[in-house]
Amino acid sequence: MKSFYYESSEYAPRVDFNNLTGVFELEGISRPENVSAFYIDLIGWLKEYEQGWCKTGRAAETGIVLNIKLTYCNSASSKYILQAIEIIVSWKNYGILPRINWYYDESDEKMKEDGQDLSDALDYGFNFISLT
Amino acid sequence: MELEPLTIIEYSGAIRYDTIGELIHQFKQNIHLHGVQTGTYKKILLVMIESLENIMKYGDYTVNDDEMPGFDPSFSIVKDKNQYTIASRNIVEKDSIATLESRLNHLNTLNQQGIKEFYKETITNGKFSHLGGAGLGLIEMAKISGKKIEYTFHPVNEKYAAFSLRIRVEESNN
Repeated sequence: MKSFYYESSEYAPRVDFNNLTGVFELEGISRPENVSAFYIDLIGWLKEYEQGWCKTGRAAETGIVLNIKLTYCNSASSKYILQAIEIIVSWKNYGILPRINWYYDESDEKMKEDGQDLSDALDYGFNFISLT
Repeated sequence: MELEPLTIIEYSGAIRYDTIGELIHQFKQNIHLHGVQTGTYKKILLVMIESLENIMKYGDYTVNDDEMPGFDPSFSIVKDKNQYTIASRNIVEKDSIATLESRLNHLNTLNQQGIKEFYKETITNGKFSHLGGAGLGLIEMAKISGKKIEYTFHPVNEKYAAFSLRIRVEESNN
């Protein structure tokens, strides 16, 4: 399988999910015109990755790190981002302990709070990293 | 000296995806002229996006609707002292008022912790509507504002009503 890469645009985030390194990044603004089409592709890729890399033990060798560096996102995107994180977190069943890094600007309390809400909703600890 | 309320944005017309982008640009330009803290700026921006996306998904009946000609959605952001009011008005079908009103009333009974719980419950279990909304927009706006949502419905004819929504965001210290 190929890595999943999507170059950012004005209202869509940069997505760089690398299957070879296990480093997944989501960065920028998330308000794409068609939110469901945008994230359904990504979620499809994660399911494929699970089959090829998690179930076979290859992902346990690389480890999984998800870096989320969002400037802002609309509520429909949040729902899909939560679904994507939920899939990644479920891979702990394959002996992988995914590390979720949630980056935020110190002056932006809202973005940190959004990460805490998603972390609480999933009952899974995120690492909160200040960008400033 | 009392300062007059200051209009940051005032718009009336159809709301499409590109319109929202243009209004975001306009907002960014105008708000920085008046100086605003990053935290407050972000809150207003997010309420603005949710509000406009709600109109785009549910309330834009301006196009080719003979039953409701000439009623454009409207949107404004006004600063008064240390408070910003994000107001929107659009047409909704009367049939949808009961559901909408019950959701708004429910949100208005909740405190901040209750809204957070409701948000978590909806984001983990809520279903997407056929228009792509996740049912989170109003909750997100209530969560950001921390104040009661003000709204009214005014009948405009047999089938439609004008739905006005006002969300307030206090200027914060960061």
